[in-house]
Amino acid sequence: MSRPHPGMPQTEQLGERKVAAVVRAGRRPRSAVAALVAVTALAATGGCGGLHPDGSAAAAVAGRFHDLVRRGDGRAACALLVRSTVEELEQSSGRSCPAAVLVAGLPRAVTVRGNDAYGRSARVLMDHDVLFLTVVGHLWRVRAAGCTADGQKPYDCKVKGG
Amino acid sequence: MRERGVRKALRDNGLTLVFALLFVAALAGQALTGLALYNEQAVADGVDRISLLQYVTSSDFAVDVAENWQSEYLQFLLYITLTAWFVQRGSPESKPVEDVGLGSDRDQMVGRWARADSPRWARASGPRLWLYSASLGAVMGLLFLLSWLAQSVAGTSAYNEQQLRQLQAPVSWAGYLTTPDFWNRTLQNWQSEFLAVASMVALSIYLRQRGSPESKPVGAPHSATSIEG
Repeated sequence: MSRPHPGMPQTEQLGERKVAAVVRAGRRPRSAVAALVAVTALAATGGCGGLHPDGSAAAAVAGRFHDLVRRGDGRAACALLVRSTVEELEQSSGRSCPAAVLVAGLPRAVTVRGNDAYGRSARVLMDHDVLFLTVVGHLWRVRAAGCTADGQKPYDCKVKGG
Repeated sequence: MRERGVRKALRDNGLTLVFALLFVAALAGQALTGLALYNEQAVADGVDRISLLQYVTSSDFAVDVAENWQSEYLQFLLYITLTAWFVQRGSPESKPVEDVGLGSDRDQMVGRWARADSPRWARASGPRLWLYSASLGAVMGLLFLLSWLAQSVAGTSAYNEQQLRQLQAPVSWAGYLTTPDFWNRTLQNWQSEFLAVASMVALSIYLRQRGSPESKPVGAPHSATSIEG
């Protein structure tokens, strides 16, 4: 049992002091249920919203891009590139994008093996290529193609934005 | 009569309302500044900017919020549990030095010492009493673990989005738990929480804030422990 300390205010009865102490300790989280709901909602939002965007849509764009390059349709292939990648391709090659993309040395890739999508970025693994995509407006567009892994460093890509 | 009721409700719940408003204002500010930062980086990476709605539903925002929440609940968990066993002479944040431990049944008003208006499980015995006796720490612990989980899940997504933007490979959730990004976010928050508690415990020995229950009375001696103003 606590004893009054010299200098303390006149003590109240033990029961009331203890009740006051308990109230004080419980003052901090007012509603554990509300906090639990908020935290769970936060996890769901951050997880569902950011963790699993539609990677299959990104994979479809990557597959279509390689299909168009294979068929020699450079104009349609460039329409699937982000603007910065088009600009970089034209600047580095000295040609228009529809011509440059067909001679950029991209490997021949046909089958999508897998994809990873987080937020507004995606990586698509094909049988002979790796591509990186980003969301432009509401559509997936290719940022980089002809990419090979380089250990922990960024992928080395034949076609990529500045 | 109705107006008096509203005024009374506002007065009786003022502390909660003030902090709730501050929380909402700070969260709104965090959302706006976070959006600006995200879009700065997006422009630098050559990708599209996003709207405020897109940002507050992104893993980037979620991880920034969750990393702060988990450390707050950890602070509460440790503060609630450790103050049963550790004391600080002279601090109003501490129990009296001679009262280290779980306290007697009489002090805790349980069992035959329970009052008529004690919570039902405080008047019980066995597992229900044991559970109720540890319920505050348990719920704080659960909230801490859930928020830390939220930080890890949202953090994995935000980290991987950044990885992909930089043309690097993403990592798994388990892999993310071993990254400097996860532990840096975690530990930078923990250090500030622990510093805040230590500061409050120590400074309240010698300093006063008249009218605040977090302070000793202005005239109370420095050696007085476990009293409030």
